[in-house]
Amino acid sequence: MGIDQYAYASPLRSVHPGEKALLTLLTLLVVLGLDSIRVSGLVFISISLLLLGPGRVAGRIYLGLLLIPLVFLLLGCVTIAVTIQPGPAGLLASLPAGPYRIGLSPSSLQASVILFWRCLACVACMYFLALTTPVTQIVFILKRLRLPWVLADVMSLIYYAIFDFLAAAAEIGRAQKSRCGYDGFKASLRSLAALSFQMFSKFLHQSDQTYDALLARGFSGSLAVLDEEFAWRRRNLAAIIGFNLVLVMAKNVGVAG
Amino acid sequence: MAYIIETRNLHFHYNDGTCALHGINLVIPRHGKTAVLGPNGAGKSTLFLHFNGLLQPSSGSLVYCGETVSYQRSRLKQLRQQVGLVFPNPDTQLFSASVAQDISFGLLNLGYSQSQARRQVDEVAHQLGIEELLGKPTHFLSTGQKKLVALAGVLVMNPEVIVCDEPTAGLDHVNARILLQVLDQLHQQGTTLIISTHDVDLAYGWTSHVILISGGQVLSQGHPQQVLADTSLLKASSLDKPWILESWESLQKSGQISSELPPPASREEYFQTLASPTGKHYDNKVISFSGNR
Repeated sequence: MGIDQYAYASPLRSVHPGEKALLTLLTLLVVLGLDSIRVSGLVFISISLLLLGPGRVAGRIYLGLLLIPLVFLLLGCVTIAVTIQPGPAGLLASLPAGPYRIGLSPSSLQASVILFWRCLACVACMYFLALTTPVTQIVFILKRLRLPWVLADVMSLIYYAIFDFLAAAAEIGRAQKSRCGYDGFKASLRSLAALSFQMFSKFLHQSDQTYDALLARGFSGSLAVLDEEFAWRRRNLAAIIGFNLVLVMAKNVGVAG
Repeated sequence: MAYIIETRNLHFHYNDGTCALHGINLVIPRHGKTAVLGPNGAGKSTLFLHFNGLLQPSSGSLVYCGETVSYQRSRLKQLRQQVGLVFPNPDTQLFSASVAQDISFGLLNLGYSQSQARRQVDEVAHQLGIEELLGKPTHFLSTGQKKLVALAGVLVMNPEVIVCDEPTAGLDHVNARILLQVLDQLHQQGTTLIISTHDVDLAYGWTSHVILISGGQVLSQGHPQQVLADTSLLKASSLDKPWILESWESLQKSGQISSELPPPASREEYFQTLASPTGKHYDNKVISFSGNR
């Protein structure tokens, strides 16, 4: 669980989660609303710098993370850039395909470039939240936003269970492999079936035990725990709002020029 | 009242009809250190789930401070504050990704305010020496650290009795020692301790009262020097004799030590006596922690 570990280790972890969420959401809205290459590029660069600088995310790791959505993004952009029409009129370059021509038109090319930068900017915003804000803080924000406590409780339980679940699955998988499981297609299916069954019965049993353990500490329906304490900082809030105002102005300057 | 917990002819059947406990009669001395000894599957964990009312006996009763426990909601809540249960596998007990939040859980259930709870959590973390873990995510801790956090989550509720199921299971010697020292500290502050183990050496050197169970029945209970010297009882519960007693008996048999000398109560006393085998009596001082062999 790489991303999660980075969030815990981040120097920005102690920043109020509301500020981090505000920066992410407000900037996302502005990027989506303004729909301009210049604004998107600006956001991508500034958020990346924020992560690489004060966020102390290593460049190699950030690049690796960006590569994951980049594959999908490129595939999507290619399909948008390519148009099919009856004749070659208005196409920058084209190939014949029966009675039609497949090619790139200036407008489709522009649409795909806009989309590319817009997506990249949005991805950077989401990575900012993911790399600086542990899930406990996200639950904290959701609780403050009056998310029903049942959902918040379930969210934190599931989040914690994932680690247990992955560790147990890895352990069972290793044990199976050391007894020649997953050797060939048929054996793989059989091993996987056994692993799934094991996981299911194991966690059914464990959930009973965890429930007992919660009761032993006086559980009566809700997972009441200490809230973490954070302080809002005016300087950060001003910077977030200022940044987004600059973005709006950048768009308008472009129109005027 | 010398006994804080008693069970009277306690039976327990699981839903599938398996009878786990057959008429358990036992006493837990107040302010004592009690070990429940038995092989795997003897019923130790099932018994422990009765001590704070998580399981209700099929017949028989649990007595706390001389009063039979009624299984009403309010009484159960109180009992679970009085008797803190630490589970053998910390992963089943910990549920929150934040250490501080996990420790605070019981307090908020008892109705503490956030600020009171925060103070208590800090205090307990200080007591157990785990302050630096408070800000860490629970799932990145080692087993030893998780065990301490699980203990902290129970300790913070300020129970009169702490029940630890297999406190040293899965721990290396250093971490087992740290955990036992923490338990010793609590004992000195007046907490009654109950642990389960199949480590007879630990039970012999560390506890003041042992209960031997096997097959869901109490075979014997009393002072460790008596109970754990009984070869036939130990055999019946598939346990070995503590090494101190075993070697003591062989030394007495070969005449190297006077057969009148009572067996040493701890590892320290054992070596003290060996150093001066003339038969000088050692002080009958309070048994201190003697290590897990």
